[in-house]
Order: sequence, then C-alpha cells, then structure tokens
Amino acid sequence: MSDLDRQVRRWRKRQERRTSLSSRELDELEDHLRAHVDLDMALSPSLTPATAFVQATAAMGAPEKLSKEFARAGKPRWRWLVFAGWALFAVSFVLPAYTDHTTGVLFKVGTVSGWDAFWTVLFSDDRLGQLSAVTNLLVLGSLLILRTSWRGRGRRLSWLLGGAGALNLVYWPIFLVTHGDPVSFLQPGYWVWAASFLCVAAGLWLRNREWASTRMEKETA
Amino acid sequence: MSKRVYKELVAASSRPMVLSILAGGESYGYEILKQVKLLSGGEVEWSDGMLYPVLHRLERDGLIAGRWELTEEGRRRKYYRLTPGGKSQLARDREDWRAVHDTLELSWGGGNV
Repeated sequence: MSDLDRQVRRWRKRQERRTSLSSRELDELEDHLRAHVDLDMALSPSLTPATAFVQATAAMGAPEKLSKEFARAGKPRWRWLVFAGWALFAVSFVLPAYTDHTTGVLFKVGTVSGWDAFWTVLFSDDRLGQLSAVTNLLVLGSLLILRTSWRGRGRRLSWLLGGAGALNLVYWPIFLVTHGDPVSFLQPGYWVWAASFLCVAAGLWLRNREWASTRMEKETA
Repeated sequence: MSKRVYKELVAASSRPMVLSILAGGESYGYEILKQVKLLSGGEVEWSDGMLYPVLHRLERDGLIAGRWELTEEGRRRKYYRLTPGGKSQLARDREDWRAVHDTLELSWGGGNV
C-alpha cells in the first residue's frame, strides 16, 4: 500500500468519525481527492504525493463544514421512511394491540400489549397467525441489510416486507370477523405494527431505486 | 466559495451552471469544477466540497442522473448526465437569467449607473 493510499484511508476514517457522510458519498469524495492529487502532481512534478494530498484535502474543506453542506442538500427520503418504520415497529410492542370485551377467542378477555400478543400468537395453533408473528424477523432483518451492500437481498426484502405488511393488515381483521368479533377489538398497537412493515418496505424500495440509478457498471471497466 | 463573485450569486447560479456543463456531455465532479473555473476565467470558484451536495440535490430532483464506473486506475467514479427534466429546467433557467441580465443591461445602459 502506497503512502497516498494510507493517507486516503486515514482521511476516510476521520470523515466516518466526524461526519454523517455515507460510504457512497465518501467514495465520490475520495475519487475527487485522488483526481486532484493526480492533476497537481502532473502540473508540478516536484510535488510529493503527501503534499499534494494535503493541498487536495484543504481545498475540500473541514469535515464538519462538508457534512453541513451535504445535510443542507437533504438526506434521501428512504432513510426517513426506514427509521420511521423501525420506530413504529418498536413502539407497537408496548402499545395496546387488542382488546377483547366479550369472547376471549384470540386472547383472554381484556387488553393485551403488542409484545404479549406476539408471544401468544407465536405459540397458538393458528398456522397463518404464527406466520404473521414470524414476519417480525423481516423487520429485524432489515436492520442487518442496511449495514451491508447487499443490493439484491435488499430488493427482495422490500418485496417480502410489503407482502408481510399486506398479510398482517388483512389477516387479523378477517380472522376476527370470521370468529364473530368486531374489527374494533384491534387497538392502535396493531395498526402501528402493520404500518411499520409497509413503511420499512417503502424505504427499502426507494433505496434500491436510488441505487439502481447510480449502479456501478463493472462491465464497462 | 468564490474569488471575485460573491457567494450568494455563485450559489444561485450553481444549478444552471451544472446543467449547462452537463448539456455538453456526461461528466464527473472534479471535471465539472475545472470547467467552471475555466469558463469563468477563475472569477467564479467553487470550493471542492460545495459541488457534491449540489450534484446530489439535482440528482434527487431528477434533473441529472448518475452512474458509477471504474476508471482505468481502478477507482470508482460517479458520472452525471442531463435528464429530459434537466434539459427543460435548463431552458427555463436560461430564460430567467437572460431576463435578469437584459434588465440589468438596460438599467446600466440608461445612465442609471
């Protein structure tokens, strides 16, 4: 590894610590720095790569200022959607999800939180209900996907989450009606939980679309 | 942000400037900066860090589109090109800036300055 590569690596680490720039934004800035260094060294052959790099980073500006400029341009919509989806998902487990005033078909009579509803359904005899409970893993999986560059899996996960959201939104009202209970037994926690799937799915879908528009064309290299 | 032209004017002209340069063909960040410097004879100079947020905003607005390529040196580089929406926006920007320019020219030519 050359001295310049080491300097670039240190610069990237500093940016990662002190700014909120994404790895793709840093890729673009790194290319800019290297192009700057190449040109400066071509124009002044006596210049060392280290000095050229210092000049290039100085022209780029302070990390905090850079981060502020990027923030002013606005963060992609998908991040807000995914974060909102995760927040809704987490909150839904503490909110009341279901209230049974009469029959106790699904749970015991009374109000249950999203967390209690999840465990009860998971160990129930209702296969579709269990499947609905297991779909929670998809939201947890999206946490991992965003830490990686698995584009294909991200696309598949967005469709799976959308499907799971639709299933969760439709299945439980139908379940209640077919068991003679009103849909009004479903409480805010349930609706927030179902909506969180659609929110994360929409966020991942937008993220994939954004990546598609800037896809790297390796075959041209 | 600029050497001679004050920064608010440089910021206001950033969109038509980038769109105009990309109207001439696909380009990437560093190349665009060099073009701005060259076209303005050094009068308009953007700080290196200022350009990329502008490019990303234009991309998000659908006025330009980006794609990644590997350079001959094996580096990842993002190239930008004008979209049909960007072409229409550039035509509107051109009209607006011409209107401002013509008004100023007339006011200066009329002995107001």
